Amino acid sequence: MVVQVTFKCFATLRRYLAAHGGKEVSLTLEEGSTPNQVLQRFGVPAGETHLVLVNGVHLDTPQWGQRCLQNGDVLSVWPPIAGG
Amino acid sequence: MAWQRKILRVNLTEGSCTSEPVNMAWAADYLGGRGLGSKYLVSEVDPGVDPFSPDNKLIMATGPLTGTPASTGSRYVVITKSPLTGTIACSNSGGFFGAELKFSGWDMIIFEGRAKSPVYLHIENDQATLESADDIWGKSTWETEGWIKKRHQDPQLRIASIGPAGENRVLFACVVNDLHRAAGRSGVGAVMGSKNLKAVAVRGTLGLDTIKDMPRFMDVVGQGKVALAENAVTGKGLPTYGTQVLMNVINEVGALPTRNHRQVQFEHADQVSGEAMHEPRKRDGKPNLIANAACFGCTIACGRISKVDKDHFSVKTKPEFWGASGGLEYESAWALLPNTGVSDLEAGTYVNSLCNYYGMDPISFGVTVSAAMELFEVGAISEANTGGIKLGFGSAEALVAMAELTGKGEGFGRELGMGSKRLCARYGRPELSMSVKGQEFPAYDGRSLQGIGLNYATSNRGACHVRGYTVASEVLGIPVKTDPNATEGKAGLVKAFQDITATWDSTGLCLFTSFAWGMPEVSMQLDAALEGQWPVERLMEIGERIYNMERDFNLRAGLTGKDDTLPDRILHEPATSGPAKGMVNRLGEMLPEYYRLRGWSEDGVPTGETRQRLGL
Repeated sequence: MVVQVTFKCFATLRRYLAAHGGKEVSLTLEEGSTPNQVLQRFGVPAGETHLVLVNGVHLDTPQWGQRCLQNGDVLSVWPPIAGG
Repeated sequence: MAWQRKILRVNLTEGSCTSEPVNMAWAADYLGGRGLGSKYLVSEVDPGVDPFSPDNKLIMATGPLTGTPASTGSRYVVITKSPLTGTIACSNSGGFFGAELKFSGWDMIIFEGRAKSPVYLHIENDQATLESADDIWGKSTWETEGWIKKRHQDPQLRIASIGPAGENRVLFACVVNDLHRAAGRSGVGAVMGSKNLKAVAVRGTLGLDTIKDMPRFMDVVGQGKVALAENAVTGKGLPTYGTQVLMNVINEVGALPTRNHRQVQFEHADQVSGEAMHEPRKRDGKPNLIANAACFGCTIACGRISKVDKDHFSVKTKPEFWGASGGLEYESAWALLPNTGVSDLEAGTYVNSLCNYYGMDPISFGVTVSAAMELFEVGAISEANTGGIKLGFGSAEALVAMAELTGKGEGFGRELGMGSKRLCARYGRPELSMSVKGQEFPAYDGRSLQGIGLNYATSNRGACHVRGYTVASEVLGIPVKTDPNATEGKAGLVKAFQDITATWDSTGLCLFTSFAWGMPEVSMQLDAALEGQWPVERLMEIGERIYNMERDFNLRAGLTGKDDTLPDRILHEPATSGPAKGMVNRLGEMLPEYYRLRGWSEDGVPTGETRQRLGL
């Protein structure tokens, strides 16, 4: 079984999607794939990643390697950022 | 200590400038900036005063670390009774004006009365004089700066001024310093205009040599700068993308108010984001963003410097707007673009410049235009009201036209200048004003972030994100991540953020240092700079004291606990998409606990015990 997932990178992490237009890419993944596996596939270092959302919902760091991505999920990642 | 110990009192009615000592007992209890300036205001001004009366006062106050080597020690505040909200107003700005004021030998300026004709205040160290502003009344802030510098043959003057919006008493007029920094919120510029005070021009060469323990101060300041540089947010994220990096984050979490808060996600958010400001434009191949910029002493440098596409419809015939100037920050970008449904980054950049040029708050302006767009769409107003302009959501042309009219005080712009609360009430749809206590919302939806909703409802100056920025915790995980949809624990979170912010605003430091520093870092710097001991516990109590003092002023001005609420839309119309889809703000679950934690009665009034504990 496979799932379709959208992977979005923001801010400085967009360079890791440079070969795919720099913003987002549609992925076909093995069922049970985790955010960490997607990050590794695109060479996004965990040390540069701070904010990980699935469908807009925040994942704590341990969940990056535990959360199984579902069909239709949107995985979005940022480096450490803030504003106001 | 880092004080000059001098206040400049300017009586505009009499045309006098006098020096008086800072009340150092008050400085011990309220620190400086927001705290000390507010203490002077509440002690000298009847809370029931008409904000435009000569009896209202306008205070420009620095903090003890303003002008010191501390990183971000640039801040000054403008304090008065707000014409927009009827509450106490305290608007904070960076740039270079605040430090220059300190270098001229003054910690604070208190303006009282009203000049018979337009004037500006010229300060050169201990010499302060009121000069005629007849020749610059009606001019923009940019023209005013140039004129004053030329007149005094001093390009190093630092100037804070109002534009036509302040003169015309636009209720969200701001005070602009250094061309594109602003004490932006709550209409402090309109009060300045009501006093016939066009500008304050400062040149200070006295420096600041009153640090208590300079070797220790330099040591802790150095540690603080290292912490800012090594922190990924303050060392990399903010200088690279500025606050505008939030556009996509807040959109993804479903908290980006869109089209006057009808929606919580904007389908074109990425086109108007911090990332987009870096990308080459299709038309000329150049990016919107030219550089980042720092205020005095700042080692973060989050400021944006942009250039609008010269061929964009908005500026084709306006070369004065072709140069590099202050670019979009997140709050202004949101108010002018997603909240109006406009996806044109260049139009937003130009309108942001217009806000600086005419001297008006882009947040309140943008939200007021958004409300007008909804009034137009629901048929409460028509082209007959707007002078033939189709004011629908998404129209960059309408946005630009409204900014120009509001800035000049012409046509429908005069009505926009009242702010959204009065505008929507005038046309029979008060519920369409997205405001609290008359001040328009900033860029986060209270349905999606429960804590920020409580903060908006209880902020002492009306809806405001920088009174208690729980977004840091609810979205960004700073200092710890909390569930944005939960109400449990939010009362305590909001109170903590509000009190800490009140202290931070009283130091002269920028609030953005709090992304890397905690109160201990602030404590160490104050302790090395000021007489006495400044442990964290004392600073926390000062913040709470300031918050209660402001609350007390508002209550005496006639506000009540019933004003601690949110618009019906936020309380009753569920969010339409994103993780908070179907949710509203559950203020009722949080407010009673908030009052209890604050030591206030069920009606939101500080109890006698609380007043006694805080020495009020």
